[in-house]
Amino acid sequence: MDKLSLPAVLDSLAELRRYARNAAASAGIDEDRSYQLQLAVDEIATNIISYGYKDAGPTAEIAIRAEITDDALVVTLEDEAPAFDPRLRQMPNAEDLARPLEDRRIGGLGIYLATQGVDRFDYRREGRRNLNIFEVRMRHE
Amino acid sequence: MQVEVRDDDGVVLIEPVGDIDGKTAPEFQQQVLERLRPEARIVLNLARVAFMSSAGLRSMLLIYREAKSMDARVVLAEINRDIRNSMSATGFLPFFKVCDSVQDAMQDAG
Repeated sequence: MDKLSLPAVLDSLAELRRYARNAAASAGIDEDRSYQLQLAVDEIATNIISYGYKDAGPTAEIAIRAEITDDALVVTLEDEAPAFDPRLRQMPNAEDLARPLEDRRIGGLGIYLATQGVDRFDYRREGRRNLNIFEVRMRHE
Repeated sequence: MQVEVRDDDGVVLIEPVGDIDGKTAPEFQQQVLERLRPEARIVLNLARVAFMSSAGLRSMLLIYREAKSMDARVVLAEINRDIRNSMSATGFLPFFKVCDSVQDAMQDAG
């Protein structure tokens, strides 16, 4: 699918989800896993826009592209914010997630949902760009 | 984000319309928190919310805490399966009363 570049603002989240949904539909991925993919893309994009690009000007962009192979759908988010590997962020463990809501720390849930929601989540820094990679494997019946 | 609010015999029915994400969660949250009063009874109907990210879950967390501190009761209705899955995966679900229909939720809250 053609790469789509959007302004790095929260208003672009709906468009990014739509792109992920269309990619999942093209790849024949079922609704449940499509939702999980949209959620994963949304969560990582929200982080990039809110934190990565916090001090960026109005020209900052976030791009999304998708490749469909026999084995998998691979969706990639690209941005030029400072390097940030979401996998290094501390995520809630089983004990944290069992805690009463009164005692919860706010935060960390987004990246947790993102990495749980796809078959493989990967991050790479290439030159000035961050690549966040989401893979959903085909399930050949 | 559009949020419809209706007072029905002492129970406040709140119906957000649209996706709850990083863009829309602050307004959703504000609209609900504005209606929270000591011992208020609130039904949050999510029938017209197709998507909720962790930003929405954070709002739910703050609503939960605020309701608890005010001794108010918040009942959720008609959550779709995807959002229910997210609430379950993050351990939120056990802390909320969830009803399948708005009618059940209104009765439960009332």
